[in-house]
Amino acid sequence: MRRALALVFFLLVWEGASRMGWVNPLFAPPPTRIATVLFELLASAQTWAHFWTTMLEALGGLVIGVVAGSLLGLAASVVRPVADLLEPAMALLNAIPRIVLAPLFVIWFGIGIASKIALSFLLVAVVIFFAVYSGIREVDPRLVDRILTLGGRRMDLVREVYLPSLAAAWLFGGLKVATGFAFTGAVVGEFVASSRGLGYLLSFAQSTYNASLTMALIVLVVSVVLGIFSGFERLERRVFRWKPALRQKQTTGLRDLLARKRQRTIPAMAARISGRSQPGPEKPAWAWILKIAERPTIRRSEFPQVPLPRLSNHEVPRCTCQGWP
Amino acid sequence: MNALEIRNLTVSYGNSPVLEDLSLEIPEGSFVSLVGPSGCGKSTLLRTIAGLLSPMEGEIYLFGRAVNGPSPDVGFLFQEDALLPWRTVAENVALGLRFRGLPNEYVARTVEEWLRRVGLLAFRDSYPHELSGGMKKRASLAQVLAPRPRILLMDEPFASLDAIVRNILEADFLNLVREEGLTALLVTHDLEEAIVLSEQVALMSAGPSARIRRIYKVPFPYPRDLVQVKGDPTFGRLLQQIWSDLQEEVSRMGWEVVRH
Ligand SMILES: Nc1ncnc2c1ncn2[C@@H]1O[C@H](COP(=O)(O)OP(=O)(O)O)[C@@H](O)[C@H]1O
Ligand SMILES: [Mg+2]
Repeated sequence: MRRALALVFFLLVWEGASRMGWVNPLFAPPPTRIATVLFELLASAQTWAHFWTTMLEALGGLVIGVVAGSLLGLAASVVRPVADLLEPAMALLNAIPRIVLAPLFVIWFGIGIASKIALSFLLVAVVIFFAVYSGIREVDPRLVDRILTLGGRRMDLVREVYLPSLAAAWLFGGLKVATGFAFTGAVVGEFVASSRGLGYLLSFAQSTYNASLTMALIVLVVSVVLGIFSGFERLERRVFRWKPALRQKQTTGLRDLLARKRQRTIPAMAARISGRSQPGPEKPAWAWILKIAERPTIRRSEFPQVPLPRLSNHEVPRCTCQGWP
Repeated sequence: MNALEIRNLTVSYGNSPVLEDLSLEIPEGSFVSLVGPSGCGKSTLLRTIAGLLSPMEGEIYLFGRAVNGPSPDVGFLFQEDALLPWRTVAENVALGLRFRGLPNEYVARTVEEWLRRVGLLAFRDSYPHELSGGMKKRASLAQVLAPRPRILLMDEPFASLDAIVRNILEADFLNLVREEGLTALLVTHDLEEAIVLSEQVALMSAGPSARIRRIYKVPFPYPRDLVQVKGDPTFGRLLQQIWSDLQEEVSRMGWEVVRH
């Protein structure tokens, strides 16, 4: 909410500055102008043809890249020689800005959508490969032991340990980054050489110094990517209900902490000032814990650094399995 | 019959043997604790018995059958509660039963019974990260015992708990083990715990090439009042004796090893 207000304020200032002529409207056209252009764009059938071309390239590259990257990552983590072969190649591909390969792909695959899909694919596959490869290699070995000693077989291991770890690696490690890369690949590929797509429109707008069209197109691309992200986030919340971090997100704000601290301390201070103890049940159920805590604790022998422990004969509460405190 | 019989076992990581020529017998239904200097190979021994490591030489028999891989007769309780973080408490407890291909209805009933026995019925749909340390320990115990193993191997299961929770859990674990008629092998570095819970305490020699150095009989009959046992003069003498033998073992190791 606060962020939305900030955005609105920012847009208003921009609008004003642009209209008053403080900034050159040729470079920074007012937001209303951009919005108008955007609506014109969306209203024209031609735009949609370009739009779907880019979507096809990006999503095609994303899907093929995710599948291929996952399979390669899987193969590398299961078969040792495959890892020896792939890891250096992938590391090299990861180190270079892969986008420089775009012109090469145009030569290889022509100026049609194939070269853009190839570029998206390459950008995505490398990211996903590493997410899956390290995700599987870093599976908690204790969980593997756990499943094996409970009588689980290879398939159980895959279903109970490897797939969930993989899902976490996919969604947290890779999928969002990969989506961004997929659109980067498609749009940049269209910059380099194309006759269709949002990237083509962008390079056309740029060559005619049409700032409002450029910005409208940028807004369009960004909103598509953000829309896909929010879909992933909803998926994450559904799939990762077991993750502690996701659930506690709302309560970790500094403001919340301060608020809670105040809540806790004010009654306590009031009680201290008035000299009365805080209200409570006469004999709380957990009183026995205090009774134990008051006594000297039972010494534990933690060898070998600790000297011989004194014997202890303090009372330990007996407890049946039914009545856990 | 012996629940566990280990003959001339040698286990090594790479070249140097961790355990060498180790032999041990545990009668069915008895509770044995295993103590020894840290790093001497207690965890290695348990993992070998559980079929997670294969020995270089020697044999291990569980209830008369040679061990070659994990066995349904074995329940293994680790120090860390290796519950699956993406499964609820009930689903975790059901794992071993499902691996055995038991009918769903039986699994559901058994899981509920075990959750009740360990007092976690109200937390059946919680995820492990929502439980306290003691609750995770109880969930782990239910998970391990639900498929009805015949021998329970425990690797320092109470080490990470605070004293109060630990005292309560010790007594309850002992009750459960006795009720189920289980054979139990407990690795611990807490001598008091070892004596108070078990019938025999086995002391391992310092590694490398560790073996069983000595076995002490604990003369208190079950059911035990753990508090009373700790106050008994015999308990004190036993503790002192094991402690001095242990110190002798420790002093045979280098200081670096001890620190490790
Ligand atoms: N996976 C492993 N690879 C190589 N050495 C190991 C491994 N696990 C344990 N060791 C070594 O084996 C010895 C025994 O370890 P461990 O069985 O864990 O001892 P303990 O449980 O008695 O403390 C130690 O010296 C340890 O360093
Ligand atoms: Mg250990």
